This record gives sequence, structure tokens and C-alpha cells, in this order.
Amino acid sequence: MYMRYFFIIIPLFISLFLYSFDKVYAYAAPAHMSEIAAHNAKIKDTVRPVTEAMLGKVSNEEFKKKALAKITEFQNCLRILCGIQSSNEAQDNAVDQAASLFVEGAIIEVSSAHSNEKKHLRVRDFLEKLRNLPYDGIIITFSHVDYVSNIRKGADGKYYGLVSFEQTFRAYRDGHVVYVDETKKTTEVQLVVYERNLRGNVVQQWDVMLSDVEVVGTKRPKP
Amino acid sequence: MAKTCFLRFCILISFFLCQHRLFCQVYSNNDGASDKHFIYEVKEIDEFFERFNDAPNSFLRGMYKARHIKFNIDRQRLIRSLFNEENRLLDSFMINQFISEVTRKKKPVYLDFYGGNWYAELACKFRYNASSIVIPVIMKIEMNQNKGSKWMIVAVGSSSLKPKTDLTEMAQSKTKTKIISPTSHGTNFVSLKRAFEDKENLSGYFERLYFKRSHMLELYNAILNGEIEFLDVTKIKYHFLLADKWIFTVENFPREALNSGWLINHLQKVSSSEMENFRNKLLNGK
Repeated sequence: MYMRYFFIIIPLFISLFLYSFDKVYAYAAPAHMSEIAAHNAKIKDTVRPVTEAMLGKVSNEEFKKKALAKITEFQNCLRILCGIQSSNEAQDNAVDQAASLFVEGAIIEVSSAHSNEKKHLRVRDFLEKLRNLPYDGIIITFSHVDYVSNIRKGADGKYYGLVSFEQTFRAYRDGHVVYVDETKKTTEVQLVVYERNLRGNVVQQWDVMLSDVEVVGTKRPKP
Repeated sequence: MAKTCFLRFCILISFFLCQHRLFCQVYSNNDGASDKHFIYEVKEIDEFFERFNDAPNSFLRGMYKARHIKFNIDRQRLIRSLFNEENRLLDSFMINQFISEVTRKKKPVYLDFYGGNWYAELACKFRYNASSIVIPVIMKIEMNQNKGSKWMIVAVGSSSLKPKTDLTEMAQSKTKTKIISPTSHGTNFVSLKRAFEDKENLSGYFERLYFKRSHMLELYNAILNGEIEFLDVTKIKYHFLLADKWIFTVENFPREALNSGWLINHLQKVSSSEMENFRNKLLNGK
């Protein structure tokens, strides 16, 4: 009797053990919305080209780390925006917070690998569109790995990079999945320097802001 | 009895093992499989450079390190994986020759993002006379004195565009710091939309030295006078001119196989005069 359980459970453990190699988990920090939104709004006012001296203090790894943190913040905003339990106020805050992560004038291009149609949207329009989708619920999941390119210095004195990640979008109506799509998002990121007054001393600090985004549908959506 | 139990055990083990292998090879909604695809796909042209050069800080090496797997893929294998495996027209003999030449120990050949010997060929869609036309635009990474870089329009291909007004020279750009960033390629050059709407600084996005090249002024005039409106970039190809001997073209193949993303789809071995002809044709249309 017990032998039979033994022969079923052992292979199950082996299978679980083998699957575990395929999974890499990333830590997703919670977003503190109002605090970050206020902080980013402040940054925008004092953005200036990065000086050589400033860049000497920023390593490629630090830049990549901060770029990924911004992407996580953006992903958290999207989750709040699409969450069925999110209140109107929380959604308003999520729109503000997500928009504050971007530089002014950023464009989001939405397209599919299976069609020639491309749409260009401003960040707020993109977020509002996502918020007002006619579904009972939406679940967005993100790939466990992100690609971050090296920093490149622009001729305008700013520093640029790219972050790519994948996203699965599932929409529900009456408890059933009615729409699924998978997209690859590539975001241009900019290293910005701002000045902060600390006890009367003006100190230069740096941050990463999101810029243009390309959203490509990688698989045919399932209606 | 013991024999039957042992047989059952073996069948179950092989069933679970097969299931594991199958999930690794076929892409389903399984997180592990899509992550694996994401790791191996050449997601950006920047990653193409990383793999071609076997950069020590490459994304692929980083992923192996994060998973505590020894990275034992040599540069030859990395470059081989950058060819579009589904293109039967690629000559395997030529590929082998190319790989052994660029990876030879004595004088290996690397790609240089800022080196100038590569071009982006964009199929740009514009609204024109109540319909749409596609105009080929050639762009190049250029560096300035402060070692900063930007994408610049260096040539324009032929199209049915016939601008109403004819200017002979480009105006000076008002703001020198308005640029098409050196990472614009990652977002399908969507920044061209912003650049072409910025009429005050329009000339700053064109390489003024080459404004006399075929069709360059025509496009500039048509955008400046609002005769055409930029819609989007429908296709991008990158042309690399390497070591005075090799020309290869990289295109995007978004598919579910591991061999996907930005891959070499055309390779040719040329003489130095053939290379100059190729460059001339690309930049001057002749």
C-alpha cells in the first residue's frame, strides 16, 4: 500500500526539482505612490545635462539597478491601474505616479508582430486607455528577467539606455478569460541629474527617468 | 509483484522526465519557457553587438552567472547563433569562413557601435496626398567632440515624393542640443515623430554635409512645408561593413524559436571596390 505512494511521490519530487531550474524570481518592491510622485515631480523641474564629474560617480551597474527599479515601479502602477479592487483614488494616484516616471513628451508606440498597424500615444493617454478597458478584471504578469543595455552618452550631454521586458495581459468577464495577449516592451531610459538642497548645501543627485516606449504584441491575441 | 512495481516506477520516471524536456523545447504559457526564450532572443541591436563581441558584461553571461551555470559558449558559437537559421540561402561555407576570420587569435575583428561602419536602413511611412508612401531613410551613429553620440539622417532613398517647393540649402537648427538619441533604435525610432514635428530644428537631424545627396533635400523640404506627415517606421535593416571584406545585413525575426530577434540574414564577401560600390549605392542611390 505504502509502496504505491512512494512510487508516485518520488517522481513528483524529481519533476518539481527539475522545473525549479527554469524559474528566476525577481524581487518586486512595493510602490509608495505619493512619496515617489512628489519626488519625481521635483526632479523634472531641475533636470540638466549630466556632467562628466557626475557620471564618474555613477557606475553602469548602478544605472542598470536604478533603471530596473523604475521599471518595477511602472509595472506596479499598471497592476494598480488594472486591479479590480483598486479604488478610483488609487487609480488616479497610479496614473499620476506612472506619468511622473517619464520625461516630458515621451511617446508610446503600440504595435503587433502580426499586423502593420501602429499607434502612437502620449503616456497619460496610454494609461487612461488601459484604465478604462471594458473588462471585469485584468491580470498583468511580467517576465522574471529584464534586459538592460549599457549606458550611451548622447550628443546633448544626457545619458541613455534601454530596458526590455515581457508582459502577459489577461482580461476577464463573468469569471472567464475573454482576452489574452503577450507583449514585449522596450523603454528608453535617461539618466538625469538634479540639485537638492540639503541643510543649505546644494548637492547634485541623479536619477533614471523613462522615455519613449515600444510595445510589440509578440503572439496573436486570443479573444 | 516487485517486478511490476519496479516497471511502474520506471514508466512514471520516464513520463515525468519526458514532460520536463518537452516543456523546455516547446513554448507554452509556462513562465520558465518564456523566460528561456527571452534570455536567448537577440532583443536589441545592442545585444547583437554584445554577443558578436562576446562582451564580458553581456546579458547572456549575466543570466548564466545568476543561475550559477558555467558559461562555456565560445565566441565562434555565439556568432554562429547570430545567423538566421531559417534562411536556407545563407551559404554555410561562407559563414564558416566569416566566423573563423573574425575570431582568429592573431587579429580578431569586433563590432564598434561608434565606429561608423554600420547603417540603419529605415522604411519610413508618411501620409502624402491623402494616401501613404514609404521612403527609405538611412541613418548613422555620429559622435561629436564631447564623445556624445546621436543618430543622424545621412541619406534618403528614392520614392514617389515630389515636393512643391524647392530649396537649395537647409536652414540652421536653432537648438543644438535637440537630437535623435543613440538608443532610439530600441523603440523603433519613434523619436523621429518628435524630430519631424520640430520644424525649428529640423535641419539638426539631417547630416548637413550630405544635403546634396539624392532625395535628401526633397524629404527635408516636404517635411518642413507640411506636405508629408511621418506615420511610423515599418521595417529596419542594419548594414554592417566589416574589415574591408565582409558586408552583412541584420533584420528582426520575432518568432518563438530560440534563434530569434536581430539576426544576420545576408552575408557577402566583397573586394574593397565592391564595398565602396555598396556604400555608394546605399548613400547616394547609385
